[in-house]
Amino acid sequence: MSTGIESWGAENLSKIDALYPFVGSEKIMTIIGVVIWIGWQIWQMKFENNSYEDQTSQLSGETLTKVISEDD
Amino acid sequence: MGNNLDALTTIFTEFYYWITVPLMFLIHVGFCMYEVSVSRAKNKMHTLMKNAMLIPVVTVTMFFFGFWIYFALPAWPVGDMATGTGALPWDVTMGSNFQDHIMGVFWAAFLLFSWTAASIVSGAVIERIRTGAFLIFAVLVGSITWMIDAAWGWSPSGWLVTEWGYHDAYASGVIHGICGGAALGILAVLGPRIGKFAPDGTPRDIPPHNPWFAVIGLFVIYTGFWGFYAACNAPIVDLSGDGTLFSATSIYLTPTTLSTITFNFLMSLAGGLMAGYMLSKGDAYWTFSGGLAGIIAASAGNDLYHPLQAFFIGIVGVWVAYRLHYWVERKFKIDDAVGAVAVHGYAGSFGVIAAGFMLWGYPAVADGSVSITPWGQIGGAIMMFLVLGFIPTYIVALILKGMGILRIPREVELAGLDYFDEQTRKSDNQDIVNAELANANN
Repeated sequence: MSTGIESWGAENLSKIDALYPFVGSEKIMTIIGVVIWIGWQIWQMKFENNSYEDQTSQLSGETLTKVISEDD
Repeated sequence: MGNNLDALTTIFTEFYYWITVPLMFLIHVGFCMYEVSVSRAKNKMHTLMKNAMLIPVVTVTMFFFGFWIYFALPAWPVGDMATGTGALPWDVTMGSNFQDHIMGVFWAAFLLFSWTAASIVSGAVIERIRTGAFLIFAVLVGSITWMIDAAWGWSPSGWLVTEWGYHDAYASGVIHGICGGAALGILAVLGPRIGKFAPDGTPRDIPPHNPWFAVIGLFVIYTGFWGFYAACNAPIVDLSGDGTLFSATSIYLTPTTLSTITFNFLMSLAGGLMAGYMLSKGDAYWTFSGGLAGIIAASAGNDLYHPLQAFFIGIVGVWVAYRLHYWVERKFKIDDAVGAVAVHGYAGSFGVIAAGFMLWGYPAVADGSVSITPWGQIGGAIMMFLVLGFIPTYIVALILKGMGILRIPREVELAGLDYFDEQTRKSDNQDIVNAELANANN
């Protein structure tokens, strides 16, 4: 059982290109990676929007004036 | 590697580019220090996180498609997709590969330019842009538009080079011009920070919360800029073709020397610092920014200029950037919090055009098939600042604004982006103090 390379012998080195395991899975990994990236961006925007909605609701007129006047 | 000389050249080249990467990392450290310090105390942690998170999103998108763009799109109008095959994320060379030792190092050098590109934009829009919106711009500029301009104008086979003779050795336009234009495109839609302009339109200064640390950030950027300059060169190329004459070359494979760029980097820095100091009457922020703008202005031709030419261009470039910054601010009510449009966009574009006059008739590529001209450089400067810089971000900013996800809510801007986090910190701290007091009284 081997996920990739089985020998570092000199006779084998010149034939080795990919050093990583599971050669042939590159496209699947790319798809998973893109899904993670786009998913993260969407999650980040939702998280940020929810945070601002929550903060805005707590910053009503008098509270906001007090916060600004305390700002140094 | 056919022989010992080939082996040594290959290993030296790999190591050379590899060393530029941590040096260029300092640019990002400097940008973070600068940007955070220029923000007000109530926004500092949000400002830091906005800039820091561009690192992962630009990195993965450069892996997925940014690097491929560079290799696939040099030809007008849409490139030759086959030439980018080796940079596709599933190609065997885009990974640990015993038959190719340089791809990852080369990718990283371009990636650090990409971080810089996005970071230039980041500073201009602080204290009112949503992080999510900014990260979309970071991908747009860091992994798409700047990679297109690099394919077109920063490669010996790019059509701007082979058709127009575009020359921009250390990226006056390719990085700085496009990013200044991109920042301006966002700022035009985003609007100024609340309170930036008086009712009569007079701009107000919004003081940085830590001016001393801001200029140290610029010092760190200077340091990282050495890595940037080094990474723009091919370090050792057999120019004779028969192994008798080796030299460094620009990215266009035209001759230069490390001596040349060392002279010119420092002399343009000196010119920029002196001009910034004089124009601003000794203001630290503009003096240090002037140093950076001086280098940026001379960068397009710093592979060939005389040191005093670099010095003069640094001076004039800073004068142009400084005057334009305040004119645009007053005329169009543009609130560029860190002067990024001026230092990068105006100084960089000036530098590209200046190189057209200074290097008029020089071969733009090694075989001499096309020459550098003022009109080629003016066209290139427009292409960088306006076509690939301003227009894409302006359009995307309009879309994000229409969706209501470009700017933070007014209440949050007024209270400060860190207000609630700071309240939580104070509360947590009080809990600990109370616990310690209870322990002390037992």
